[in-house]
Amino acid sequence: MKITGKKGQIRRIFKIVLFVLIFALLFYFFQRLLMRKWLDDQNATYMWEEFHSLEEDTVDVLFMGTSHVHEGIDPMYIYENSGITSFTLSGSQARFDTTYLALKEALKTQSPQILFLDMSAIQYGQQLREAKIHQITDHISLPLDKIELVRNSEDEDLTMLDVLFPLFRFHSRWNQLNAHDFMYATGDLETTYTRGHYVDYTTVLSEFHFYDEDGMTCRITDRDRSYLDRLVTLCEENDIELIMYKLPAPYWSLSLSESATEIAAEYGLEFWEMYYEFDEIGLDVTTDFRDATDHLNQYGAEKISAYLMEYLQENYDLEDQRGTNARWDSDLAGYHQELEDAYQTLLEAETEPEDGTDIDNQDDEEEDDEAVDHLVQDADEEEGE
Amino acid sequence: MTITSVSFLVFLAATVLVFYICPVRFRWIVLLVASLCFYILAGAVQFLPFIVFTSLVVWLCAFRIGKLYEEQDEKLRAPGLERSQKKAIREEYKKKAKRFLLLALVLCVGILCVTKFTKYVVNYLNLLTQALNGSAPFSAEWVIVPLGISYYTFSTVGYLLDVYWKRYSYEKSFPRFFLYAIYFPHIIQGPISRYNLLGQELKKELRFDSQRVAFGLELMLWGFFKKMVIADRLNIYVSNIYDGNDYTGSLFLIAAIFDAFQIYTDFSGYMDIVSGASQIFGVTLEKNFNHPFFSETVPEFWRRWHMTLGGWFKDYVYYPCSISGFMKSLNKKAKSALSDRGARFVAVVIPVFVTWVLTGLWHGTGTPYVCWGLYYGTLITISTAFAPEFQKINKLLKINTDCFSWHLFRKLRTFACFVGGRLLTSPGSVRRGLLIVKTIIFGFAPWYITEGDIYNHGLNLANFWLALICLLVLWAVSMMQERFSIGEKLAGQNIVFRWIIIYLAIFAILIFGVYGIGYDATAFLYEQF
Amino acid sequence: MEKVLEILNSLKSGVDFASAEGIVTNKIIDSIDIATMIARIEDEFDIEITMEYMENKNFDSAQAIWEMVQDLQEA
Repeated sequence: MKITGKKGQIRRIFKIVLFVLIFALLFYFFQRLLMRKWLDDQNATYMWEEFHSLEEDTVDVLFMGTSHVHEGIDPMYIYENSGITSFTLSGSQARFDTTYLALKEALKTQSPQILFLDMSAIQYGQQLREAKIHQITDHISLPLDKIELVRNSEDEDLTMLDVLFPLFRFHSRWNQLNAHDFMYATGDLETTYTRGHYVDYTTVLSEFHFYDEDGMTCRITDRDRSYLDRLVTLCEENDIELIMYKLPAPYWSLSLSESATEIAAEYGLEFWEMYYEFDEIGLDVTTDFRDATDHLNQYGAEKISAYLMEYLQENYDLEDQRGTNARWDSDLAGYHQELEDAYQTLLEAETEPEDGTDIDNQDDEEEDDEAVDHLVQDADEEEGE
Repeated sequence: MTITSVSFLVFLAATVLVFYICPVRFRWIVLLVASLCFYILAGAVQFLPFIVFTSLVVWLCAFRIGKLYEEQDEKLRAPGLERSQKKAIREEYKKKAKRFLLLALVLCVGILCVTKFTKYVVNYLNLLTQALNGSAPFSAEWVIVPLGISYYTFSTVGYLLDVYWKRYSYEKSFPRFFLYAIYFPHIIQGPISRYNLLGQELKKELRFDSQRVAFGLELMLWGFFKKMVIADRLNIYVSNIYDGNDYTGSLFLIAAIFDAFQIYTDFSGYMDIVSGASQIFGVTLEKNFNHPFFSETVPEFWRRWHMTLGGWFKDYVYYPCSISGFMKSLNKKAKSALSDRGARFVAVVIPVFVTWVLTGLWHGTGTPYVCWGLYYGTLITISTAFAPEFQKINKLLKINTDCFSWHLFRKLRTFACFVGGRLLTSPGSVRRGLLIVKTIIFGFAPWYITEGDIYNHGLNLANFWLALICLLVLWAVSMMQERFSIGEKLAGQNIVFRWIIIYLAIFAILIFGVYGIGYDATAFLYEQF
Repeated sequence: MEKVLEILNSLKSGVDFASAEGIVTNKIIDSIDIATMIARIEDEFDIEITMEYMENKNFDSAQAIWEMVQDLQEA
């Protein structure tokens, strides 16, 4: 039946608009369903869900940077023992470009006073895994910044469409959907209470070679450097005290430390190399690390957190919100439950065999990057910085 | 820019917008400009001179020939001419016209041959010199293969021949003719058009019609589904098996069957996309596929598969060859030397083989393609020349030729013939194809399927079964299309149902489509022509 | 005209060529049949069918063929 006339035209336009609207809704739903969720030691999805669920302007301290941060710092430990509210908003192998975007997103809902910026990313001369960018960008809503990120990216795998609409990147996951995918799609993902921190009691002997350069030199690109510039400016504009630091980790060297010091100095800042305070913090290579390559475990995290907490209490006048912040107080119970669950998981731990190779398992388990030769691939889990 | 890319959709949307904003009489110019842009974006600006050259040469020669015929007709109108005089005038003008025809053919078909055969000739020459003095001085690197050269050469040369054979009048406007040659929906992979069809379509008053546009979009959707969900998925398995080495017969058999469906959905999907796109402008492209796997004989298959190519070779190679002077004298000799049947056989066989070997060479150069041509030449000859024998066998075996099982048998037999033809060219060499056939017969090893090894060749279980389900969907839709127009049937349903189907199609493509990181989406197969 | 029908019937049995229309466009006879038929027609009527006459419409019915033959005989 042909529709003619002005009334017909209006009807037609209305139908087209309705069609597009319904399409957008369906698209959004399927995107949430098929997106990659990060729910283990790369816990980006839990992290950002929790961050976005917090009341505005309640977080006073932000810890940002690479995975060292969310594995090595325990914000709820700090809160429990001092009432200072903090959050580890970091990403596996995150360079300063995605960290900058993460900060911009964070400032939409929070107004922290202090930002601890982990400087590990200066050792990256390129984007290591294209999927790591999605860990940040898929959870934030800054379309113009994302477009710019892709446009000036050195990574050929990264496309505008993939970053703006992760459905295009992850649609091949359709035959790997699990319960969490559906829960996330309907907004029913379980809440976490660790303020971004990843809890793991695994203990592995670690070895430090701080004074051996071993190829670990500053490789930061001009592009990433310019994002660092913008990050610093963003902090200045928002009255955030910026502290550039590095947690003790085996994959770090004196050379990198010196480079970090130089870079910090260019902004008029002092770089805090925490390796020198290894003993003061009370760290122990036999008990405090969860893998031989990089990360602290819960024992180590608690020590670091205690140390940082003391530093904050001595040098800053941050509010002790215990007793007044109902949300954080009640969340402590959930936090302790998660600690217990993590401990139980360790006791029952069995390594699971990896999936057979097929086209759908290529998100992060991709071919090696020869440039970063020191990155070791764990057989069962993905690791990162 | 490929057809299954976002950039093409953006390009199409922009063109549609400009097209409908423009007043009706300028819309063909919009298509011309858009086609030029498309040609540069999808190909390269270096290719442009070639298509311009071919189009210009053909158009000029056709113009000249047309003018000669007009002159001839005027002369023939003179009163009081005798029959012999008329014949003389006709002969004279035919000779003049032929000169222009040959000029254009040599130039245009010549360029096509150079692009196609140089590499082959160079390899052969190098083999010779290598044997003689160990050198390999010839190189084919200088050869440029302009985008769509096989297609636009055929569609323009066809026009020239039609004008020469007085099928219709010559086109006076070069821009109009050039639009026909470079029209973007058909430039890369066809269909090979005819000027009295597509040319006239482009001259119509192109007006907006919402239902026609909707049908066009739905057709495009179906094309994208065929290409991105089925063809590209099957291709993962097929290329895995064909590129590898030692595999078993069962895996090869599945690969051969998948390969047949892969090329069908790839090519016909592409056709649907470009036809649908063209439909948005109101320009109907010729049909290139008519559910070929429902064919019951090989000749019927080639009337349903790549229809415009078969049609082109029939009208411009087969018929001219059949009624050529050479064949006529040969037939005379055969008639006196052989029986009636034998003479008829000769009359049929030679044009058929000439046509089919050339068709094979059109698809590619090298032994596999010549063999492919011979293969189909043989099948078609057998099918037609020995028809009475087949009927006798049917009678003898008391076969019921009216029942479903007989028709099914014929369809499967035709499909098997097609798969056989594919095995000559798809695995890369005839030897490899024969090895595959041998392995299927003598090394079948069905446990590779039953024990699940088949899921380790690019398609895991979920993807493999998705491919099978989609083939089922393809079959169902094809059955429906044979009986009615899906677009119209859909339009007659309630809006909720219509929209559900459309959303299903869109999201099937977005979710199950083989694109992005983790998939190797291959380019369309017929694009190298 | 009868000769035309005779030739047609020798190509395919079971078709009423006297009244059949669209025998080419409806694929009642195929291109090979046409080529065979042409040789016979040329022989029978002593004419030469050139490519100008190779159009569907000249072969689509017995009547059309007969008219084409007559045309060629006059030329």
